[in-house]
Amino acid sequence: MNATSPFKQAWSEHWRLQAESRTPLWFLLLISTGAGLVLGAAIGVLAGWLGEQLGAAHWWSYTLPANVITMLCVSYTFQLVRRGLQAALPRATLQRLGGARDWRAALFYMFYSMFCVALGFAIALWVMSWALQIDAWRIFTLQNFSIPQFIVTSIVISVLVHLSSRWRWQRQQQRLKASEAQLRLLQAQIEPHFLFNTLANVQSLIDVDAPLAKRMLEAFTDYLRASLQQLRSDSCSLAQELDMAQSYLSLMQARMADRLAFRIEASEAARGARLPPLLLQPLIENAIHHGLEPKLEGGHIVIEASVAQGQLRLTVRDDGLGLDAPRRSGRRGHGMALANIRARLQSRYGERASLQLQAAEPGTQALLEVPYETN
Amino acid sequence: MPSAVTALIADDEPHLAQYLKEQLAQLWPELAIVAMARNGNEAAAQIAALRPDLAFLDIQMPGLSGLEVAQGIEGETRVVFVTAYDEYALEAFEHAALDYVLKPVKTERLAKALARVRLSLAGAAEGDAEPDARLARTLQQLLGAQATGQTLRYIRASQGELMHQIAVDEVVYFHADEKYTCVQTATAEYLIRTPITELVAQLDPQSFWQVHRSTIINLAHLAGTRRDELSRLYVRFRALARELPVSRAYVHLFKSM
Repeated sequence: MNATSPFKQAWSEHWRLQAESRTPLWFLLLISTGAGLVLGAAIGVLAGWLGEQLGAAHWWSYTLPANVITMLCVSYTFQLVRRGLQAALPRATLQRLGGARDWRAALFYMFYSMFCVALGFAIALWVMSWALQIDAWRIFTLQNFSIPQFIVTSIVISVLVHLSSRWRWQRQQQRLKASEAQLRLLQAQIEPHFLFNTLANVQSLIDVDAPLAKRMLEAFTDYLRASLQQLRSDSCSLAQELDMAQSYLSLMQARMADRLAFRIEASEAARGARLPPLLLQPLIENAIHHGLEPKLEGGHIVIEASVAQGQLRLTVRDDGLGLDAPRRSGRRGHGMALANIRARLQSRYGERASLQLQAAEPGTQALLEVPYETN
Repeated sequence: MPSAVTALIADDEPHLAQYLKEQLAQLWPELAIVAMARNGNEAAAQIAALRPDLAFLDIQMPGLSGLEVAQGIEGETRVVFVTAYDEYALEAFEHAALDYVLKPVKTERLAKALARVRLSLAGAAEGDAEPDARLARTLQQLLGAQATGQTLRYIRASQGELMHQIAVDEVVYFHADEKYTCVQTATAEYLIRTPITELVAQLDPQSFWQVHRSTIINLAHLAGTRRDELSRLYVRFRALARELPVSRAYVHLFKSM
């Protein structure tokens, strides 16, 4: 839900059909009046300026009031027709029209505004005839006004309004998608099974091995802090990513005891590389979850990073169950993490980056290559 | 008064297993922990060998999962599941009123579960098969057996260059091996790759019963059952001189026969 000011809300409600009114009637009337006055005055000033009679008596007594009256009438007509439709149309239809962003909605709004403008004008002419004591209809027909012109102007304005609202809507959708992707990444990072098992280990160690409990809690804190920091940034250094891997693996080692051994090897040049955050971490977690955790005797995990021919090469190798181990229930999300990494590589580097998963003997090897960048 | 109640703890994380042991020692000093298993396979083997009264099973373990271990128990061992977080399992346990404890273990919650276990051990001499029926249903549901709506009529097994088509009516039982499923008829044996959990979902439940983690039997070929001196139940077949064990979760199926 985005926080819009009540004014913005009322303004958009003034022009668009909605299933339910969230703005009180007096406020909508205030908006209609305000819109009518401001638009009328603006058009009046424009007309006076174009006709070089700005400030003249005729302008004060006729042009300005006529324009203000016209715009007020049009504005009230919009309000009236809208409320009429809202009362008359079924709720489902209103929701469809209010939420729609396609050409049908654009067409509907075009006819709707043309109708409202025409009706508003007619009412305005009648009001002017009475209020300014003039034959407004005759003056109106004398002016070089044509119906085709009115229609073309309406269509152009409708198309512009439609395009701009569509553009705004798409931008909003894009922002929504981006934050959803980030949320999914966050969820993957603090996977509940990992979270609760780690806390359970800390709990079990507090009385019997307080120093180890303390170290685990520290590693867990480092891991969480690094996860959150990386989620909020566009890029990180490999050194940061490897520190995070170190915290994660030492946690898992405390938990799995003699069933897990690990080694991290990275050249100084590699450690300085910049890369998108959380590319390596999911590969390491996959190696643990699908390779080593389910294997009876556990095993080793080796992470290597090097730079060659302008490419940063990262490998994650485990001697676990391997790629063709039968899938186990309750261990999901293997393919999802890889698809996520591939999508992010593609959007950032195109063809210049790759991720390959190979069978190692025994186990699995993931090979990730991205252009070597530092700054 | 029977001898002390015995229990097994199965958890791949040694600190957690140790902690549970200490908690149990405080809450139930007479309880004898007879084994600590570090994976599902060890747990299954030790339950079969030591036949403890209770098994505290972690769900995610290397080898067999806690659920699979529970599905293979042949004696009288009662199960308490211990798990950190398994959305679907917890919902199913809650629904079926099975005993479970969440990690990190809270003393109060563990005490409550133990009170329930003690009550049911005291009154479990004979009769109430409902808890076992619920356990069997829940395990089958969690281990992936979902009715597909299609009933299997033929099994196809390839053997070298040959492909055998076997009518399911002829099958005496299906038995899971390490990698294969053995299809046993009165006269021959075939190997297929479809796992038991998938088969059970495709077979007519009126004629085929899963009686063990690794066994589905055809009732049409059933000759009867036998209970051994350790009160383990076995099924016997007409055409074969072979017996297969029935796991605890499925013993209730035969009570009404």
